[in-house]
Amino acid sequence: MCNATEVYPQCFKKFKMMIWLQKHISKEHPEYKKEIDLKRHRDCAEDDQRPCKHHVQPSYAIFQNHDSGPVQSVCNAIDDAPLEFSDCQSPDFASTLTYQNASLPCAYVPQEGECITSSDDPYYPFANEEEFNFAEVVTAKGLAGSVIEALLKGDCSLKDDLKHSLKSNYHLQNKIDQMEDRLRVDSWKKSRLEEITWKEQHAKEPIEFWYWDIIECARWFVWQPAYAEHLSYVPQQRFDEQGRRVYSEMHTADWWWERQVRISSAALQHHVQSCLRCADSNTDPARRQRYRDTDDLHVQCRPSYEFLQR
Amino acid sequence: MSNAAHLTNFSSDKKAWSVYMTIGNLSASARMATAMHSVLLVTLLPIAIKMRDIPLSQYNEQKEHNRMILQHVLHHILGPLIRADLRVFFAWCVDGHFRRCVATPAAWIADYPEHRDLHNIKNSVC
Repeated sequence: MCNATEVYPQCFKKFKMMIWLQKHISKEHPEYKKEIDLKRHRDCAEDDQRPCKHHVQPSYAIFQNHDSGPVQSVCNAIDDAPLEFSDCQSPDFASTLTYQNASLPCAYVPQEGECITSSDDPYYPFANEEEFNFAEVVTAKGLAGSVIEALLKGDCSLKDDLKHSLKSNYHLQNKIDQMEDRLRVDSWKKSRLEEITWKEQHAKEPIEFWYWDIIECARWFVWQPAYAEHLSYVPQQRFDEQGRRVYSEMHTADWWWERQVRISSAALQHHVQSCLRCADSNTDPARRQRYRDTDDLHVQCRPSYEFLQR
Repeated sequence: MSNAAHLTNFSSDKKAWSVYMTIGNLSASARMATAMHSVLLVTLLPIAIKMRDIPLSQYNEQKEHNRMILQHVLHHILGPLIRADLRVFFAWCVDGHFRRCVATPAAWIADYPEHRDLHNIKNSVC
């Protein structure tokens, strides 16, 4: 049991998990955030004495690093990847090893129709902040259409500008529909399986299904402003003060790092470019398909900018 | 992520088999928070016909056929992840820059019977 009084004497709340206490402090008493981070770090050091599977904190585990040292072991594993050893980025971790050349912004010119240009006005399609806030409140609270209608048309001490601009529930819903979102309802795609049915007698009922393009879904995630603080693009290796590896998020595990090493290797990239160019220029469709359909990672990985822009 | 959900016993036992996706770049706390809506519905898989009308002699064959149809549908949906020209893409990120991304399937969260059907392996083999 974690008591909030240990961090902030005037708060008497109790939490089962340290992470919940941390969330509460950072939300309600942000000025005490540093104290809670220090406390969590201290508790983690105490918990080191126990076996890993008895750790009480969710999504947070510390494992012993049996290698001679973090920097040496990583540098031996990959020679071509430049590394950066930064000091004390977070109070939880004494040091963080970051894969330096990953996630660099690139000068890519979107093709026509590919990129949705964002308006400079953050409240678009609403005229101002008040309208946006009104729409947000009535949507988030799930107010019935008749109530919104009454609010906008009745005498509810709303500003005249807002009433004239939004007009009615119908117009408000239209504006909400105009809000920019890549995955709109109309972006669902319908597909059917050709020449295959559940049974022979179901020949007249083709198997149909609706789906979203999975790559578009991934684009949507990295584009959403709501996730801006929670996204990480670079694989990291985190170590505590004793030099032991700390695993918490997915990008701090080995899997991501190994993938990044594989797709970043310059020699491999050259090989892939030649493979893909060969596949692209080859007129034999079966051979081209074989190159593209292969699940071998060495051929999957990324082609050059020129190849993609062609 | 995928799981078959039983919807109702009425109207001849309706079922839905949803497939969801999320990305590993999101921090775990954001991914698990319900208010963040960080899991997207990608598709609803077609539900197979009832097996009660199938004669016993064709039972196993029909089951295999149903499984293959699911494989076809999943191949259609997850196909971009194994195609070298589609899985590498430029994404417009929140900070206003473009980044080159490589989409890779990392984990498939499902129950054992569904894993078995999706991987097309024999029951209780592993």
